[in-house]
Amino acid sequence: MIRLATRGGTTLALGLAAFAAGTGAWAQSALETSFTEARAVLARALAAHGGVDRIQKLNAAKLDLAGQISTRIQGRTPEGLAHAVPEGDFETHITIDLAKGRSRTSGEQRGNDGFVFPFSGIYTDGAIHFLNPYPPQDTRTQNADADEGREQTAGIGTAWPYPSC
Amino acid sequence: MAIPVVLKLAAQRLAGLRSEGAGTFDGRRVARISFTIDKATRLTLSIDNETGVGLEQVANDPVLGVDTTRWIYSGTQTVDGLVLPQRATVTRRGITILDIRITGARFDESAQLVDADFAVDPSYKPFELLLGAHHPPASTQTLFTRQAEFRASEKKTAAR
Repeated sequence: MIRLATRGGTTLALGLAAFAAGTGAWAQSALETSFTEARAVLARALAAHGGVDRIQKLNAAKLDLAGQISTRIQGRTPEGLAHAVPEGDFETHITIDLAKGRSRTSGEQRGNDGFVFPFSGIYTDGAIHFLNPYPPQDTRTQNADADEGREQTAGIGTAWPYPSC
Repeated sequence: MAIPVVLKLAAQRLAGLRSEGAGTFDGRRVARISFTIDKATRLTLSIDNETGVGLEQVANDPVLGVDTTRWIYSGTQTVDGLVLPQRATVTRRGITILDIRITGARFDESAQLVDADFAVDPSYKPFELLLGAHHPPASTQTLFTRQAEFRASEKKTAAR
């Protein structure tokens, strides 16, 4: 009886071990499949956007953008809040230094009433430096943490830092 | 707007590259991949199955706030051997907030980057110093003195 129980237990243990091993292998395979598929898609995208060699050599970029802005948050009229009505136009100049991991975005937003709001921000060393012209000040917010970085940045201009004492 | 830039970042961060499956976008079959831009930003890109061109980008944008930002690209143009979109529509929570077109693009030697491009004007003061001017921080000695005074007053109260 004892021998039978031992034999049964051994069989069960071997079965569980095989099941566990099989489950692990399946999970790893799915992850590998995701990775392999993603690499294939990335290779296709790299080829379509200039080729792998050209993009690997890419180290610096300067982009000039222009367009219309409609935040629907700072609408000047009730219609502006209710609909995505363009509130003004903007120009943005983006400088990207991939070699040193930094970028700068600057430009100005112009409202339909002639209101001009200049802005500039530098991303470097894991933080964004917002340069506010009135008065000239540099607000540095950490951007190295998924929650803290976004939280601090989201309240920029309205939130005050904790008192230093 | 600079899809080649994010593709290069993706190629440099292969450990976090994942497939997000397939789907359709504006009637086109697309494959979606996601990768990490930095510790605070993960980006999902929809790639056209036929052309390989990026059509849609979804990511949290720390500059714009906590909301996920969706970029929809249209058109293509070639600059310095790199393929860029012509326009982009940016939406948050289904609301169009930006309608953007590229008016100029330069890459690598044409960009002529210098350190001055990233310099902060000396007239800009750190925000903390400006705050300190209105609320000067107490020195450590002042804090100790205040703590001692508080304990002394507590003893007097207890003695009564």
